[in-house]
Amino acid sequence: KERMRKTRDETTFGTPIDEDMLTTEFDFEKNLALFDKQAVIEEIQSLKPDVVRQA
Amino acid sequence: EINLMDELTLKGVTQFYAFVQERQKVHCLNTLFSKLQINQSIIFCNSTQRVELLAKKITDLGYSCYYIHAKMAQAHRNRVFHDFRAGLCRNLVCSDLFTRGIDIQAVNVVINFDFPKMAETYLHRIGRSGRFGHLGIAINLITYDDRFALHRIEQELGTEIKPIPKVIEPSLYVAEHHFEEDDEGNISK
Repeated sequence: KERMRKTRDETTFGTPIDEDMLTTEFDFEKNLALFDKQAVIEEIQSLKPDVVRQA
Repeated sequence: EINLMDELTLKGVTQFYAFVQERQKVHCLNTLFSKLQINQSIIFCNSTQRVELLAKKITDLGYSCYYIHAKMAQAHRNRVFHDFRAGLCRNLVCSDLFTRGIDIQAVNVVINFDFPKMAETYLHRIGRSGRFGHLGIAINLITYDDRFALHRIEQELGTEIKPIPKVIEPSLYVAEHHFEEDDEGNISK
């Protein structure tokens, strides 16, 4: 678990701050398009009965 | 038993999410800093280690910040929080320390750099105690792994976290853009 945490921290903070990061805006729209919230929620809800059964 | 959750409200706080990959979070935060009209901000991480790592990154990006977390001595924490409240620094990075919501009027932006797992934690981070309820925005950086927590927290708190728009309307969180309607329907600043 500790190793997983470390790997995650390295992923988050390991990228050096370069000119590109400082001068290029993060593209919110492009990234939002990669996540269909409604579809994800419907998928989670469709999983629920199984979770209840297991419990 | 007093239920602290009853004292907190999300009223007046507009909640958004930005979808990110873990490695994009620092870049995303830098863009938020440059685009938002921050009076004061609080940025939450899910561990003390990440609080320290993020505080260093923010400093490297050229912004000033304070940080506090649970492993710091109480007296030190109090001092930092006191100075932040006094307006000595614009940004505060922290882990989950607040049990009654943020009671600092000047904080108009809260950022969940790490999305919490529990609804109660979310409410403690974003919610305002009733007497201080006022305008602000909360921005949640959401990764694909956070999808279950996002759904659960929305359900449990009966709230909606919307996708971050291209432009965030200043009237949602910037004091001088806040127009209030009085009892007679007159609009005043």
